[in-house]
Amino acid sequence: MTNQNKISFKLIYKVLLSVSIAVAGISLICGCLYIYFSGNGYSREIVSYTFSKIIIPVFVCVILTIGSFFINDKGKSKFYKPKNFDQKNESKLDSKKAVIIKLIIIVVAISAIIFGALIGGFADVLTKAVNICTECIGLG
Amino acid sequence: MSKFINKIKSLKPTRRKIIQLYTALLFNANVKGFVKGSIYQGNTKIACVPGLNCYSCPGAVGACPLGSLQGSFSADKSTIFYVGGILLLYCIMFGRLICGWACPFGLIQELLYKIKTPKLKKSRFTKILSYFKYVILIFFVFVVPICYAFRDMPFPAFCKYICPAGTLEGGISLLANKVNDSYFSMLGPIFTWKFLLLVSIIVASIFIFRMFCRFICPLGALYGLFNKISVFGVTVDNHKCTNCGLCANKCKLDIKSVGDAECINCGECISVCPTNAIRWKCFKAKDNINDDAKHKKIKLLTRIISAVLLVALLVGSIAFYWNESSSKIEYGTAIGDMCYGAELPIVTPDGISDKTINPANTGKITIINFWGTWCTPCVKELPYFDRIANEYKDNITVVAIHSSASKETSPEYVKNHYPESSIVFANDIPDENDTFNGKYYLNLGGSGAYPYTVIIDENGVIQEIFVKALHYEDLKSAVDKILN
Repeated sequence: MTNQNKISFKLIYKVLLSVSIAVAGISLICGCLYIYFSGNGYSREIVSYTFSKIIIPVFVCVILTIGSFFINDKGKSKFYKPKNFDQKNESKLDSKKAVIIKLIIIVVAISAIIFGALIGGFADVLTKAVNICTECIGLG
Repeated sequence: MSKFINKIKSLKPTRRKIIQLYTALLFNANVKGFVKGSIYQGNTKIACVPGLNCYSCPGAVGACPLGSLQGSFSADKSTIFYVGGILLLYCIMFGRLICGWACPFGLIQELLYKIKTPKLKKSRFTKILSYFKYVILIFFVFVVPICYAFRDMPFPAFCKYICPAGTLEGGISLLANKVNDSYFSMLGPIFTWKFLLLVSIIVASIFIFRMFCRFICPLGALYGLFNKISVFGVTVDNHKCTNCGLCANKCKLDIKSVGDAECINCGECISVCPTNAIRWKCFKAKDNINDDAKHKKIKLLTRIISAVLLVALLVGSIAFYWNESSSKIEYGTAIGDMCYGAELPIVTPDGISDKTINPANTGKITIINFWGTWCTPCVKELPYFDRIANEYKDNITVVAIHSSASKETSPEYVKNHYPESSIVFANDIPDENDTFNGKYYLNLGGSGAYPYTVIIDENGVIQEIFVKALHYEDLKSAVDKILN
């Protein structure tokens, strides 16, 4: 392939990518607006039609397209060593000090759990956990 | 033929994958919840699981540590000790070993990464991006919930705006079941935002190894702070290390050194170290292991026994939760039914009074709202009910019934926020099978989701049911429709 052919192929590829991103973005926005302005809100039918058939495939195409700009996995990967990598001289706590600190933290943690449980701390955790947290799952 | 055999061998899951799958199944052992479309409401949910696993997932048998932490800021002070203690224990014992071996959402991301596509390599840019999760930890997990706690409002900001595990395991799992079709009325901009975020994370995980864990997860950020001093994890013998950098090159995460805050302790670097400098903490170094026949037999026997016990635990858990879920009695109600009647104790600013109210028998149009002081959307919509109660004083009665759980907190809340309200506050009565939601809530078709509102006419016939937070306009239009 000559250089001129390579250049025109790259240009066509970039133009196609840009157009597909634009089309995907517009379709995505229109799809979401359709749900809000249709007056029916969300329903199983609208979700299965709009999301499965339109929005999800379009959105996946957008991400794949954007992702393709960043992918640079050509040929063998280079050897990567972080900047200032110095594992050998990595500072470490004296082993005795480390054991003491770990023990103190473990004792504090267990004491906090026992204290919290004795004065009824788990009741609130249980109340929250046994009811559907509509906020947490995107409802409401 | 040998190529085929090699291919099959290469597909064999690693020990870490097996353990990840095991923990994912163990944390979601309530398999019947997926079938019934409801969540587990038993006592094992007092314990927080170590990984990111939404407690609104139908299969979840434990509480989410992040959700519990955010909720603890506005709850009773004892909760902070309890949840804080659990998290501190996980941090010091395991650090980010939990991320590498026991997080269900981490497993999902690793499986997606296996899809054969070009991959985004780590670089200085991804290293800088990895600090973003600390911003999310500080802002969404601590600052925002604490600020709302001063206003007496539980607000799990991370769960509400970001957590993809909640959307996938909780939201989509519940919505996929036809029994929960009424939840579709609750979907809005928040769900759209979270759903698109979930899809982005899922697709990005195909190209970027553990994208959510590296750049967004605040639980990983918290565990990472204790990674170096945790009891279990990987460690490096500095005397044997030659600084060759093979470990950092092999690692797919943005580590600066093995065992730092980014390291998920997966152990993949152990096999590439040419000097065997990397080993597991609390275990002997490879050179010191006695490999004679007797020790090999003991090792094999220990492994077999452990495997049998663990499988028995998993199967036993699934069977236990299947059986327990079957014993719950199910209620149901629909528009057009006669409203269930019961005498509920009235809550006043002075406390729980001796007077009672039967919401089905007020003789007026009655709006029955089920709420809880622990429920942010419930607390946020109460002012709209208060406004409606004042405006339509002559025609309607608004009864706000607090869930059976934490009902002792309702008098103080009413005293502080609604001392002169036209709303009649009441507490639900405990149900024999379910002490959390309350008998009245269950008899009116409540399925664990709050807030829940039922509107009945003067004759006690149910006219509207809402399984979502309501605005003033929703209430006004519903009331006007019945009045006209």
